[in-house]
Amino acid sequence: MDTGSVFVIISLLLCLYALATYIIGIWNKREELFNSGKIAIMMAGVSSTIAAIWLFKLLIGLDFQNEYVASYTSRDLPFVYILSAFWAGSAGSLLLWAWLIAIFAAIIVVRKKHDELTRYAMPVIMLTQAYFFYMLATVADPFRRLSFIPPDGNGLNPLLQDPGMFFHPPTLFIGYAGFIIPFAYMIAGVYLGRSDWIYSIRRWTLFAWLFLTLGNFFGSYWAYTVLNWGGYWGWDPVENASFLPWLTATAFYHSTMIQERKDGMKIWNILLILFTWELVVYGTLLTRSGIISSVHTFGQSTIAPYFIYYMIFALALTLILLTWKYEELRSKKIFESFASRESSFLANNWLFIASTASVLWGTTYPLLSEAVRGYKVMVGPSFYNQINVPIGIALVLLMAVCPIVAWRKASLTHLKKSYVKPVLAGIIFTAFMFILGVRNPYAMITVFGSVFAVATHVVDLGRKYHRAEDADTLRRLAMTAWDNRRTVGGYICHLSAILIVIGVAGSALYETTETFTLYGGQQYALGGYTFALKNLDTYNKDNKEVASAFIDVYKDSTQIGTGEASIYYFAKQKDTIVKPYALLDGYTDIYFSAQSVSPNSASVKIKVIPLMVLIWTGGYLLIIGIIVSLSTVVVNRRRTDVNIQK
Amino acid sequence: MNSRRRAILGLILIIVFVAYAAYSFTGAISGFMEVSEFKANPFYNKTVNINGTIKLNSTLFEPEVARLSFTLTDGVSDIPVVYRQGMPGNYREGIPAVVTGKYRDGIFEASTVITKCPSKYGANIEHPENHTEENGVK
Repeated sequence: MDTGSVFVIISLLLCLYALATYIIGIWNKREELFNSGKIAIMMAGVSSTIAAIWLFKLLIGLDFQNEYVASYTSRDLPFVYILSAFWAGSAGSLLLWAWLIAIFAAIIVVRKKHDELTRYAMPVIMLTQAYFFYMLATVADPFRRLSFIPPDGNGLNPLLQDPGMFFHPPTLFIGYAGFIIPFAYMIAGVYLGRSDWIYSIRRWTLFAWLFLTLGNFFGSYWAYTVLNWGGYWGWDPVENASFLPWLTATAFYHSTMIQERKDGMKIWNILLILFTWELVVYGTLLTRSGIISSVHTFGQSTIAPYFIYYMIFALALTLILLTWKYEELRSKKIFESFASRESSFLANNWLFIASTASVLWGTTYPLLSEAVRGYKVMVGPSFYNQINVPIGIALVLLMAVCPIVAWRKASLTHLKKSYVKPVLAGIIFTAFMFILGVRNPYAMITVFGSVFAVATHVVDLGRKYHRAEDADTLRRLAMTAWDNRRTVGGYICHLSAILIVIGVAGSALYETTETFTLYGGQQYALGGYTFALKNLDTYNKDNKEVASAFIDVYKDSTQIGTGEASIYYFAKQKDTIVKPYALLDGYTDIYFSAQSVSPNSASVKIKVIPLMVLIWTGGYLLIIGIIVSLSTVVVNRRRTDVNIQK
Repeated sequence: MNSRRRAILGLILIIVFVAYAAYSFTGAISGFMEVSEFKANPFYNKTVNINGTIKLNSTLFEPEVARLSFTLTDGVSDIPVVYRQGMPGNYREGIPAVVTGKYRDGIFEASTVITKCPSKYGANIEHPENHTEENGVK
């Protein structure tokens, strides 16, 4: 047996031991058992780390007798991709998952107060962790050894040989694994009939949400800059799989504020965390089902049923506990009027759930159709766009309404007074854009909604500024920002969402594209730019042959840059891939993808995409906003701790 | 606001949403079939997905117009395919592919071509002695 397998089994045994100590400890109220369990959890963290390091060692040493190493690496593979092969396959990525859960559990027992909720949450985490290690020890063993030593490995799929591969899967998996913590605390809370579980794991939820967001963004950027799928998002079933938990997590993050402020939506929050965790597991299942063909999927495998059992178990456990404790957990009525802050949060949640439902349906229907009727179908992107574009616009409008609507019940005079200026700002700006030539109704409503939303956010911050007491303007500004940093964090996220919506709308509505065959000494025009072939070149780089067309880009007869549109040929796999190139001019992307490169000409598809850059800018801003929000959680927890003690 | 009015409003919203979603959905789903299944019962001008293998020595690529033509086969029947958006990633003869598009005048006009090479996704390791060279074309 391989050393790695030994550590997988040790981790499994430690998890089972910790599970037993916690259950017996809770049952018999024996304090010393928890301490023993805590040590086992820390040791499981260590032993799973050793197992992970061992897999890295096998990969780096190119030990081809290991089936996993032979499947995903080869002698000519650059070093970084040998490392990233860790998560290129099903078994390795499962080990990453299990390892992350083990680390998170160890962090909790080391750092977090070992209170009642933690004690009841730990068995849930341990059960999940044990389940993963059981799969790793049996059906998805990354340490399986072959009976022979192949001379070379199969190598890594060329599409995965990209820096995107280095960042996208691990960030996504950190986000995925992170959601076990809120799920476990939710189960503990429901079991104990306590609703304050939500404050106990605020930071973890934000942390998981941050990484899920990052994972989705890296994936999207990778699709845009490398995979040449024709864009950043294609409603591919496995893209949807990582988007689904993000939607419910985002809904959850909003509705927790209602629980905090008004002690409402408590059952709803329980369900949202249940959905989020179920969708995380569902996403993991989809990539391994072998039914969906996509760059993400791992081919046929036998582990899909294990995830289905787990999902059924998690669902049944939550629903049974919830039925049992329903009366203790339900909220009092908090919705008094349609025109209120509470209702705007409710509407936000409905929109996110509607989006989730549509994406989930579109992703799952083909599987159901095949299983039930034996008839295979595919769902085109038009379905997702027709549903989610209106939802996106509605969310922007809602975001505009929300910040300055009163809690409980807003009066008509209040509404008039607050919204006149922001609405006017929106109308004036839209009229201005109309004069400039923006005539598309989608573009116009996006412009209106965005300006309206930014205006109400500014109005709200202005009100907060007026309440601050200090003569000095700068100090007063700083004080307002500091005292309201949670709001500020949220508003940065809102601003980023607006930028992303503008980026999506602008790039979708105003893209121009054409395929040119470029010869030296000639000029080609598209979207206000002029292109000229500078030179053609072929060279070897790492394990691939590169054929490139270098294209000079001119605007108003001034050169603004040179693009390199390439075709990569991987001799090992006999595989050709297109490597696109994006050049940024102001807010416009100039996007090249080579179709062919011959000795004296090159056929290149050129796209001029305005506002695309706002999607990435919004992404970075969103990360900043979440980090600002993360920094404030402690303050809020202290406040709620006081409430609980009362 | 009373809870009955709220429930009715909620119900109306859900019904409208589901009706709209159902309408949009019926326009977006398309069948998925093997080449011979489709050839036995072809339909025209309706989006369909066809699964098959890219036939060896059937590729004609005209980079000047970004047009790729090839034959998709399942061993029983063949269907000529035209794709006008350049070279899809991982394209190679002899590997499985799913084409999405419409059948017109005996030619399948593909809007997407998804290639998949089983040997690269969760590969089977072959023993060196019975390793056979694939005769795919670059």
